[in-house]
Amino acid sequence: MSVLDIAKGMGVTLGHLFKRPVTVQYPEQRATVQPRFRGRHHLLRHPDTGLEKCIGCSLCAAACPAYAIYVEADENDPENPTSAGERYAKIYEINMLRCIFCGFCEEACPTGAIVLGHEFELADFRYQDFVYAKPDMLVGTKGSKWQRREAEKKGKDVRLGFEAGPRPELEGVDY
Amino acid sequence: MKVTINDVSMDFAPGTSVIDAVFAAGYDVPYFCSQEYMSPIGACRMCLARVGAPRKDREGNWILDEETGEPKIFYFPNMMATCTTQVMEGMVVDTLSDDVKRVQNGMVEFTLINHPLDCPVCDKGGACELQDRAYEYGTGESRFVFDKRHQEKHHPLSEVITLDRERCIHCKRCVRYFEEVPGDGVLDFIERGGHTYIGTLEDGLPSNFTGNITDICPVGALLDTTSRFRGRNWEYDHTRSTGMDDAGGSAIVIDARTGRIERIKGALNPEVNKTWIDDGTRFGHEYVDADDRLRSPLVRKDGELVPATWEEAAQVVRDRLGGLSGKDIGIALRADATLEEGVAAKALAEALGTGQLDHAPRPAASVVPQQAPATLTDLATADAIFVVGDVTEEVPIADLRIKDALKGVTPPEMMAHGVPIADLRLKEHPVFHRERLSVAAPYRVDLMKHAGRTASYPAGGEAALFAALQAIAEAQDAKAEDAEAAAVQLDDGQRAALGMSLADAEALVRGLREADNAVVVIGGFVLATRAAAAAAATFAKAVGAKQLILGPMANSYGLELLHVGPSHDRYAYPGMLEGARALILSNLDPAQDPDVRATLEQKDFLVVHDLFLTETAKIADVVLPARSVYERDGTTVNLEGRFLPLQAAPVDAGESEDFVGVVGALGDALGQRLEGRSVRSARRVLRKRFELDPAELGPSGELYRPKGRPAPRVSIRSDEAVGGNVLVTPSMLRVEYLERNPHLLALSGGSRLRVNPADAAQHGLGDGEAVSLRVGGVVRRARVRLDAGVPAGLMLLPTLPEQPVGLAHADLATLTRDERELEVAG
Amino acid sequence: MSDVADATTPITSRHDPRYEVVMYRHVGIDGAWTLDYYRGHGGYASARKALTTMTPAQVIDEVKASKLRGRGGAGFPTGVKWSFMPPVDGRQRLLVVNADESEPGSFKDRYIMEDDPHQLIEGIIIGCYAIQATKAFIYIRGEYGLGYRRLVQAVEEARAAGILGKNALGSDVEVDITVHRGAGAYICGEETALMNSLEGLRGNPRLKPPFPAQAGVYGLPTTINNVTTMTSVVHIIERGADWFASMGTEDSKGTKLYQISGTVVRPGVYELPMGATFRELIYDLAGGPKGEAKGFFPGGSSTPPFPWRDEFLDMPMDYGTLANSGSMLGTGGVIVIPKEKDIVDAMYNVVRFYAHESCGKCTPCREGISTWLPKMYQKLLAGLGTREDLDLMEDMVRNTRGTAFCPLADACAMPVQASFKWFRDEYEYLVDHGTPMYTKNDWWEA
Repeated sequence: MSVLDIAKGMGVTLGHLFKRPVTVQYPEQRATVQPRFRGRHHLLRHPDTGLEKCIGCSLCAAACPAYAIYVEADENDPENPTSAGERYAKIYEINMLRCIFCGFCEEACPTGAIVLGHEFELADFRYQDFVYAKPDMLVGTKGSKWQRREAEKKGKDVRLGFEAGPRPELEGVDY
Repeated sequence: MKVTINDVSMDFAPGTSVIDAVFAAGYDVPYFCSQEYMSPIGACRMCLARVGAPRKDREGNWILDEETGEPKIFYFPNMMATCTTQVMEGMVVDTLSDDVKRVQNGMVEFTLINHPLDCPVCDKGGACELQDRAYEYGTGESRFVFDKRHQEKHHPLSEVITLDRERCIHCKRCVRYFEEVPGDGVLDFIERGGHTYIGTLEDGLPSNFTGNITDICPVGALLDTTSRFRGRNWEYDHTRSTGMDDAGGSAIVIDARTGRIERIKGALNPEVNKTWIDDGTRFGHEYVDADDRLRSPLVRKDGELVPATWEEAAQVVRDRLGGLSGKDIGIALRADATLEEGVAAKALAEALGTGQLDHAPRPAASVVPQQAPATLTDLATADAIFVVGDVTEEVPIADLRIKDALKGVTPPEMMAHGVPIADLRLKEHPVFHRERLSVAAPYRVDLMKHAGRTASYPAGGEAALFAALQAIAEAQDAKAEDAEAAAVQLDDGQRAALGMSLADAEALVRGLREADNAVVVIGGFVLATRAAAAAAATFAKAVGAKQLILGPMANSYGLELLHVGPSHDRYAYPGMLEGARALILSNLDPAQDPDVRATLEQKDFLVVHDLFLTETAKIADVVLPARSVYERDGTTVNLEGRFLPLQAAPVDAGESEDFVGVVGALGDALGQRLEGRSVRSARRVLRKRFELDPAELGPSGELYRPKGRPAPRVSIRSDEAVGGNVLVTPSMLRVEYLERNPHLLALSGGSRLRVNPADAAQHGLGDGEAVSLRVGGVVRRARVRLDAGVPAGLMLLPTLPEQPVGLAHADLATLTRDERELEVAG
Repeated sequence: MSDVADATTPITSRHDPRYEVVMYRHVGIDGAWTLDYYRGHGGYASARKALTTMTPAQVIDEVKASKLRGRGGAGFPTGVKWSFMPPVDGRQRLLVVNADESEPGSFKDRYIMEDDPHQLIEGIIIGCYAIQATKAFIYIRGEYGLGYRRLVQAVEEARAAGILGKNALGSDVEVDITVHRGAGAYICGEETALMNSLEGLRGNPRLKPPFPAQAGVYGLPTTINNVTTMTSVVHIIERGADWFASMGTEDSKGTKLYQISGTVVRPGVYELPMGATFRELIYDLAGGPKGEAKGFFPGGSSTPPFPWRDEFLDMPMDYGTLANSGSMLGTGGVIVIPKEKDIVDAMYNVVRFYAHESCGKCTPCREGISTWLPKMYQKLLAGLGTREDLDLMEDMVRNTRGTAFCPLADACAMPVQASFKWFRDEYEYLVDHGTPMYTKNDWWEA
């Protein structure tokens, strides 16, 4: 290695001293998330009727390579339906520890009910808190379980540590 | 006959259908309407293929192809439905050409134009024949741009079957099933053309075998309501086992998911049930998941039953039994225990040194006949059948096999690909040869509508019935030897005992005698007394008929074969309840009789092994959680002496154990390595005892035919002078669990007290009223059902394990309206 | 008899001196349906001749020699069909007369049953004698109310007069007839569906084999024949097979009742020898088309139509010629299509009929003919069709050809295919312009 090479290297380093840093001061600053980033799942509703899109068909569970999804279906009450049609998901659970965020569930879904959103701040303390059930994923729920717990404790709104643009398939999801 | 399928030439028996030839050759054609055990009708047109055959000229020589000199193949102008075409000598079948492919594509497209694409919410999804065929033979897209047919999406055909009319592809399997298999034509097509739909004119499906249509429906049109939306097909654990609700030994598949049994389906056993099972077996599983199921042992401490570990419970049992002499201890199993459990019980009895061991219910007479019993195949190929009893309720599968015999089509020969898909000997709208079947029972039984001759003899008169028939047989013998001999002479008593005209009885006896393959089916009413069973055996021998004895429970035959019985008749169950000072009862609930309850309360020690906290368990000192019949590994023996395997379904049943587990735990506590401590060790005993390996049984099981006669067994003490005002009848539905089977309860309306309308008027009973009544001591709750088929002065009530089939005395003074039930109903 | 018949009387070739009217000689005459009238005009002589002077085998041989072919549409030789009956084995043998005449454009049997029922009864007596059946059923179309009443009346008369019964016509032959009225299903004209319907089952076609001769109605040996086949037999026995075989062409002998409807001057039933040309029927007897015609169905709506060209008009009406030309003689019911009637609309009418009459048993007919095809026609007629739709229709109809369980699907598919073959320009005009080439729709009122 010659002195010239070292000088060249130092030149690159010096050059960056005068550029804007790429680093984001997370969590004080919000990170930007790429549009196709796959984070925590959202369960969507039909925007017009408010009915859940999920029909409890379990195809996501069948497609899941990590066996992270568990679905139990039941028949809708015709008077007060949960989803459109006869069948809805009585239990819908994703184990976020098992999930590898591959997005196969999204692809398998015949109704577009499950979409991987941008939320990635899923860290938590206890195993059972990583099992996300329907209330943790339905449209309108903001933040991970831990974030919501913290926000409730502090009496503030959930603050997400990222910024993201709108995505058409995430209709109704507001970051 | 030599047939060429694409490039494969094979020989087939005449009468083979082309579709079977294609499958035997290793090729595939799609089909929807054919079903192995039903007539081929060629309705779905999926199995079309190009078929040709050589022809003969007027002189009988093959017409030769001028170029090759081989017989010239004349192709049929149209594509042929291979399921309805017979093979011919020299036939050529083409299933691979573009023309055939085009037509198959076209048929898939036609089938799909009116089929909704709601596979994600369909319970058949993943196990659907249409899905598979559409994937294999369809083009993948539809050119049909119009609205699909709209019909009812969830029409409840009955409490247990839901029909989705949009999904129906009109294969007619269900319609044909009811016509051909149970012979109850309860379904049919309504309307025509594109508007055709399946429907029934009656309310519900009045048949005992309705659930099978959910198995054979190629799409999700007919679905089992009990498992509706409970899981997808790929999520179920499929466990093949044997149905333990009756002595038939039907093959079943238990579909469980996350520790719950979601549904039961029929499985193929060509020798036993083909693929059919009765509704009791199919829908009667919900009790397994009942909320009040026992999940851990309970031990009485300070008068209360408190949860304990198995080790603690076993210690308590050891300590408490330690103070008793062995012969003071009684052990009783229910008769649907496996052979392995029987071995374990015997080992325990031996270790404790008691002869008070029995299984219950055990009829007065033996269920293992002296000669080898008829097989179900014998029954299905019989040309004369005489049934005494209510076979439909006792062993439902025997009812279906009798109907096979009435159709007169012998079971098909197996082919390389299994059961032939299209048996061309079966015809739509079959003729049932009723004259082959005679049915005798004290009341009107379901099978009578298919019988050429019926007899209604007085209840309890089975011995007299067979004696009278024997007299006729002997008179006929005398007549045969000496034409001058006097005609059959019967006194009035004998004539009354027949329950049918003398001419009918003579024809019956003659029919049995002249038949090549006659079977006498002996039901529980006969077994209730030793005299009747002996008379039946004598009669069967006299007319040269085989006997088929309908044991009261699934493994009655096996447990008797294994001698799970007392050393002396006073030790038999229920007698042991009086004599023993300590009792170990598995799945038996004798305390439903308040008098017995009082006796049991006086016992030194009472161990109950059961699924639920029954009346008996409530007064027990130790309660052990039992496994249901679906959760046991083991072996059972059906009524024809066939060893059949049981496999445990993955059901979450807490710490439940079968009796093998009980004996294992007690053995550990006693510090002994008992023979039945595990299924494996029990099987070592069975292997030595029966010279067959229960671990190696095939799916069809194995017929056990010992050399020599079975050793006589110790009978139970029975009061031969039978009488009573209530006839306890066999029941397809297990009444002890009915309350915990919500769908079956809704279907059946609960346990029924069937009363003649005249009697009901006399007792002031109305149809549908809930009543309770002490029958033979046992407090029974039931719903009144007026039934003109019940003889006057008699009431019919379904059996319980503690209340065996036969006549019983009821104290009509105890007949009360069940106010509680009425309030609920109101 | 006046030259101009009133609207209720079927015009027959009685008006044309070239042809002798045989089967229809009593049709249109008031009171001809009574036994007295029929007897007074030589009735039951033929049956008496068969029963007294001939053996059953001789009757069959005579019918075979006459080369009579079934008049129901398929044209199977009648004598041969009768000889398929198994040897007498003590089982009840049955003769079923198919009077479920439901094919559009076909109405020849109707007037025989209304005006001359005894002729049919006589034919049945001969037929039963030939196949040694003692019981006959007449399965009459449900809509034929008058025919049903007249037949029942005639059977009662004949029974009272000893013509039917244990000793028919005083012989030792037993013949009895039951008249069974259908419930208005076209498919019940198909012989196996007819048998199902007669047994009280759903009118679905059944599997063959077994053929009716082996196991027909109630599993008994059965022969099924058309009404005019039976009435032809009366005259074959009366006048001899040679007389019958002297008429007609090489493969089709005797006389046949041709029906003509549509826009012609004198629609009706005409009795002509086999092999007369369409031109003869349409122009000489029926008075030619009213206005311009563009095509015709040669034998009922289930036969592929022909365009109005000399080569087809001069075609002899017999089984072989028509089969070779890609159509069928069928029941011999010619329907003339006027030029102003748009062929798409006309075919939609035909398709609607078959869609309504499909029994729903098999997939191609239930889904293709009964569901898809009418919807395609509706789409075309609503002006929403495209050229691709025409290709789709042709392809889809091809998939229904020869794949269905019974001939009903073919009966619809073949005319549709022929309409595409001959009149594709009208289909294309419709999809290109959104309106039919011809919009006149009141042609039948003209």
